[in-house]
Amino acid sequence: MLLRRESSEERDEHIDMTPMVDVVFQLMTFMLLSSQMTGGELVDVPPARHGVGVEESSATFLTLPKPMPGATEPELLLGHGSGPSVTLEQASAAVAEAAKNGVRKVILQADGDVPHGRVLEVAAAVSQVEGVTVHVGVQEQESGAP
Amino acid sequence: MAAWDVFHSDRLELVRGLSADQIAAGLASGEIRNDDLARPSGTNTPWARIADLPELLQPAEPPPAEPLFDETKTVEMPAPVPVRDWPVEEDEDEEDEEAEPPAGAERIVPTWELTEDDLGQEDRDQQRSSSRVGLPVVASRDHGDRPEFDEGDEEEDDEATVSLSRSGPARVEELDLAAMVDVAFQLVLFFLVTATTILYKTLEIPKPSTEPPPGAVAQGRQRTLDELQEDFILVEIDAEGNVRIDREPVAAEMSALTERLRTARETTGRTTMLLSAEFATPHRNAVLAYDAANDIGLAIAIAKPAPPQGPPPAFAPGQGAAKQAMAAEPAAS
Repeated sequence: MLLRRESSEERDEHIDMTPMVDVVFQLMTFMLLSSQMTGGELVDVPPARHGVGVEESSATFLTLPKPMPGATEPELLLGHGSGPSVTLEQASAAVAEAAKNGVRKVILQADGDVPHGRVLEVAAAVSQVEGVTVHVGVQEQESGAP
Repeated sequence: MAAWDVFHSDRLELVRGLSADQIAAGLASGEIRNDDLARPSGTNTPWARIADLPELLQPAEPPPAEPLFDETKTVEMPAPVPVRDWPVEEDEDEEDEEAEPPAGAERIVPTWELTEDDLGQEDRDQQRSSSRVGLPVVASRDHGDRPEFDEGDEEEDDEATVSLSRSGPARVEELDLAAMVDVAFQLVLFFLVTATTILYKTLEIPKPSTEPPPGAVAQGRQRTLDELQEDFILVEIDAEGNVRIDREPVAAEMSALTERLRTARETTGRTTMLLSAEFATPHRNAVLAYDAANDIGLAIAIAKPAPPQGPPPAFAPGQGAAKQAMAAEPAAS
């Protein structure tokens, strides 16, 4: 009957999507603000214009922090920023262990004031391990820098 | 001849399109009672009791343009119809369907057999009128407006009014938010996925060769470097960060370095930079040289510096002193 058809047409209501959109945008804003695209630099690594991105999960981190005025030899930390202090041999062993699990990159987060020779020492020791590539951590250049 | 709609208030039955003669016959046979309601077909004229419509009682006279409406006499409601100030439309529709008499078909006069359009129009009107005015709810607050609508050419006016009021709310176009929600969810997913992978900016450095025995290199260093200069662009950095390219001092900043390196490459055809920095050179100066070489696409080789000879003696006493102090402290305490 026509009456029935018309009445059913009038009841054809859309789902009100406005609250859903609100919630989704809230979520989006939250993700935007909370997501961290680049790792926070815990050591003052030197700035560089060029560089390759390495995922955190695919690399072993070694940290060479800023040498203390009193200390002679900059210590070598395993891990990023704060880790146990290790010797070169222990670091190589850790890298070898990680390489067995398929983590074949090593990132040396070396402070800008660390002697170049020290960085190369660590790099040389670590690269004894078969199939490992060595990277030194850098950070984005400040916008003011040329 | 004007047609009439008759509402049997005892049976809650609506019969449309009756002529005045048919109504008179119905009255005579008792089919239609004086308490039943009637109004001109296809209008929204308020229902009126047949007894109050003299033109129906005397079928010879043509019906007046506007049937009189007497509120005081039409307040009698059919029992099952819920009395509301403002009837809910769906409810009214349902009741209207129930009230629609399948049996009353034989009384419907051929106005129904016109065309599909007419049928639809009629039906729409009918529905509208039934929801707002068709049922005896006319005694509600709709009543006050009613006579104004019925003034003059009632057919046209009524239709216009009705169609406007009916389709007005339905035609409010809502923004379709579904697409927006889709995009927003895509973005949320993107952020979710990318939030878990943190990228570190790094420079890949070549493996320092382990071959040069520091002592031997230290002995023949000058000569070795001279030979190497034929194949490599030699970049030397001393402990203070002063840069020399091919033995010529260059300002230790990016643009000067790249400019000098580019000239060196173009004039001599060497495509590899050999970085020969002293042990005590700060790491950031070495990285600056790497970066400059990367900037113009030079390959990089790194000469392993001689182990500290100048600085270590300076450091060694300090180291020894520190160790001694460490050793001395427990003894002192």
